[in-house]
Amino acid sequence: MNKKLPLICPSCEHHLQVKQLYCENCQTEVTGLYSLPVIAQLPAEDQKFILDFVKASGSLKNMAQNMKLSYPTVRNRLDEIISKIDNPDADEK
Amino acid sequence: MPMKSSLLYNPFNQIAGFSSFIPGLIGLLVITWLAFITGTHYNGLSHIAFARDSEYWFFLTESLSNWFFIAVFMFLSGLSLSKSRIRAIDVWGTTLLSRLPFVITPMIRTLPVFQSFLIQSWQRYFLHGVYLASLIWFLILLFHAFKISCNLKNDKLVASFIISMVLAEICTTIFLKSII
Repeated sequence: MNKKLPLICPSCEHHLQVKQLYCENCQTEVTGLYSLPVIAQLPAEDQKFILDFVKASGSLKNMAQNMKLSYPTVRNRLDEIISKIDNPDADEK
Repeated sequence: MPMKSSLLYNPFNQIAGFSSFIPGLIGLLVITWLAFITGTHYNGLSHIAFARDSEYWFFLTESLSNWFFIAVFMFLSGLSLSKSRIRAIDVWGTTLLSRLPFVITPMIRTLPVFQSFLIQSWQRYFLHGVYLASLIWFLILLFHAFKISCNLKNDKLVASFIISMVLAEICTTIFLKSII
């Protein structure tokens, strides 16, 4: 089963942080308080978009062709993700 | 995010830039030619008139000015309000393609029963009804064209759309009256 990384607290809807890490090989446990990387905090579909963008060498034109979408639609999607990265708390409210 | 939407009311998720400009331009020329042979005048958005009283260049000027002023004001709104790097070709192309519903009224006028009629006749009321329906369709298409090509949302989108339309209507009316 492909488990989905929870990003938002189901109780108060704030961003979750990492408290514990675990090594499957030697059973070492690391406890602390770590923030998730910015990209990992985005929803899965936004992460996929960023991956596709990198694979397309940062060309929105190529991405639009591959996705069979118009250039401004893809550009708007990218701008939406940039806005989420700049204001990660904006969509919590 | 729903990317796929109906081609009937929002084809611009899939079509923009030159892909919309070329068919939009062909559509505009077809509409102008049909308007010329049937004597259908589009004087801005608020008025349609039927009279075979002008030369082809006047019908072409009507078509071009009806599109041009809307495209200019929408592009200026996008430039001043949008945080995205908008492209002129997207605004020109999508606004041009939005005009396709205006082909319906002059097409109906090519039918023999609609070629000549009295002022108070069912044909006239029917054509005005068709025009109203195509106008509503055009406004829906234009709204999506503006939204996608300029990447505006919420209040900014609605307010700048209405202001652009009003300014374009004023400029088109003044311009067309000045050349009659």
